[in-house]
Amino acid sequence: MGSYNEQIGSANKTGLTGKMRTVSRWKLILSTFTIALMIVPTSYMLTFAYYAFGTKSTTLMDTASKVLYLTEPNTALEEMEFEMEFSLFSMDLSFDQYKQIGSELYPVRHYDLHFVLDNLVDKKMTSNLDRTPPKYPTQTNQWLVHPAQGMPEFNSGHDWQVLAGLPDETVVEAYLSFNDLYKVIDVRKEFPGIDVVWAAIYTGTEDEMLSADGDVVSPLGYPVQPDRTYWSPFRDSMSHEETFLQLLKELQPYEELAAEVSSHKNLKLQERIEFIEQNGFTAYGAVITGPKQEVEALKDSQMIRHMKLGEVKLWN
Amino acid sequence: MELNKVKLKSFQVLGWFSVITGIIALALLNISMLSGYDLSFMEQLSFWISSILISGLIALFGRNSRSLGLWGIGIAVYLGIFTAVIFILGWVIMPFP
Repeated sequence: MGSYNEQIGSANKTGLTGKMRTVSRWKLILSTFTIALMIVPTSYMLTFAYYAFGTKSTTLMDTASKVLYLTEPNTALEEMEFEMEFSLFSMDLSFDQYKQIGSELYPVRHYDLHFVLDNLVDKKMTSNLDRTPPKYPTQTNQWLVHPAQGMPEFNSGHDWQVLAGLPDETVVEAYLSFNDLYKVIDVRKEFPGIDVVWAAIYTGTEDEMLSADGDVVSPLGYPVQPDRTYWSPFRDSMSHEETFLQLLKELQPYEELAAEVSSHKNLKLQERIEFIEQNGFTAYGAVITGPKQEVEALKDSQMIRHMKLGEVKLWN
Repeated sequence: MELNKVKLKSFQVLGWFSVITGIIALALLNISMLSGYDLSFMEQLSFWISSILISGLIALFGRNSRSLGLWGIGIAVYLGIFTAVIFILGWVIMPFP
């Protein structure tokens, strides 16, 4: 009898421990699941924390925006149309670049930038431009040429002819290279009926487009017209020259990133900022826009050495 | 005696319910993040969190289901912190709506 009870007891115990074993096995499986499923949301939180407190997403956006204002002639961006998307440890930034032709702004390029943390790993650019500037800027293929440089790769005479052949009901954008260095204020006085939209500033490197180290540099300049748009870095600026210098200094810590966003490979900000601080602001070229006839009338101006025709639009 | 057993059993059931609902919620969160699309699940997250939390809290009362209850509450708190962090940091990193 005693042994029977013992048998029953041990059978119950085995059943109980078997059940407990199943439960603890399930607990182990589910706790592994719980921890595994927390990896992605935690990484997501870390990504957001990185872009909020590490390299800020707004810094990346501002750097991209500033470098385009300063190295791409006649550029405007709309910050409200910047799109940001975040995924694990990465960020996508896409936006449109505009150009003023005549009195209206036209979207000319669309940028898609993909950052992994603060590294720009992919840059896609789609262009609606009819006349695209050289994809790989070199010493001699720039559209704005310093007076000390030899003949450019474009044919200025041909572009004046093209301009003359355009219908009168068009507005054009033109890249003017001067025969000397001028103050921007004098340039504006010289072209009264026309919008001077961007001035290319001499920074000591443009005579050969080479830096002290022998690297091909980008043109640098700033928008000349007052810009009251909310997103522009030149908004409320009393002096565009001073804002220009200020922006160059702000870009300096992110120079590598800025150069990757821009189509130009080297900015060499240090030596160029020093040059501007010592020698002031003089322009060797400018981008203008206005009615075809008024731009054509500039052909006889003593100031202009070369002209490269940019975008052409119907009257607006 | 029987009533007590039923009570203990229901605490355990609620405990397991809390944990399993929590894991399903986490899995849906993973899917919505990895696919890159906002699923309707994200809008109902507060409903999920509250049902995990309530069942977890009730499960705390049973001695055997206490660990399950704590587990469920842990998941609910994690989801709550996740929502708050994403919401607050979302404002910081995206300066426009």
